Amino acid sequence: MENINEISDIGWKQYPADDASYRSMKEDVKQAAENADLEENKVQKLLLGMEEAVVNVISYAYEGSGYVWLRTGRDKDFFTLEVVDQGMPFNPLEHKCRSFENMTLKEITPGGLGIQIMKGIFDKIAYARERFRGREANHLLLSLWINDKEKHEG
Amino acid sequence: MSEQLIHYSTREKNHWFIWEIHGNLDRTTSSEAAAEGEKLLQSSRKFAIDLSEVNYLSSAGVRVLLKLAQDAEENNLPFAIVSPTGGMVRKVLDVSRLDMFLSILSSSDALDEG
Repeated sequence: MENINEISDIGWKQYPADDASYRSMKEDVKQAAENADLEENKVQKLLLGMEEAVVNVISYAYEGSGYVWLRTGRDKDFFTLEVVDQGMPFNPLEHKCRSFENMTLKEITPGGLGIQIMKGIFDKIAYARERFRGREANHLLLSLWINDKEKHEG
Repeated sequence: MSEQLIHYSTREKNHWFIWEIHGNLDRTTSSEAAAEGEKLLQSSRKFAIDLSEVNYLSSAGVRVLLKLAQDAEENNLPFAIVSPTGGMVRKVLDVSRLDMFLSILSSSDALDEG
């Protein structure tokens, strides 16, 4: 068996990877962000990152049913949102930003838009294929600077 | 208490029909918004979507805007999006790069006459 990292099992919330669970996920992430006293625009960014990441899992990760796990936390100067699924391997960082060069409006398709938005609004994004609860999983880590003033001074 | 996620209003200015969206334009509201937008677009000569009162915009919402813009172009209708600079909604529009193809204005005051 390939030797890959094991994700710690602490602090996760588990949801069925389906549309019916989406609202609960959104409310939980919003609550966690507000409990951490994040500014309103950072709460919005986290919700946006959650939506874009989770929609990919709901839409593409599993052939049948499956789960998605979310965990929020703080890592030094960053507030973090982690998204894990045990579906087929998918690294969003391998997707290049969309190029519209020499395209007309009618030729544009919305594919990749969610990934582009995630890349555009988060300060750091990391992906790893790791083990989680006995199976291989996609592990996406989205990080936001908590204090923009420190970010700019740093 | 249930939260109203999205609602709309309309007005006219300089011969533009302005569709004002209020609330969240995301995965949970995009289908409803798309249907409403298509209906309004069909009865307009110049169509602007005002996002000034949108609190939250995701890729699902951007898809709605893109589809309406494409439909407007297909029907040779002038089309514009109004979104003030500085907020998260404008940030999402900017990273989506729709400004390469669409007129995105900071205020409805910039909608031209004629």
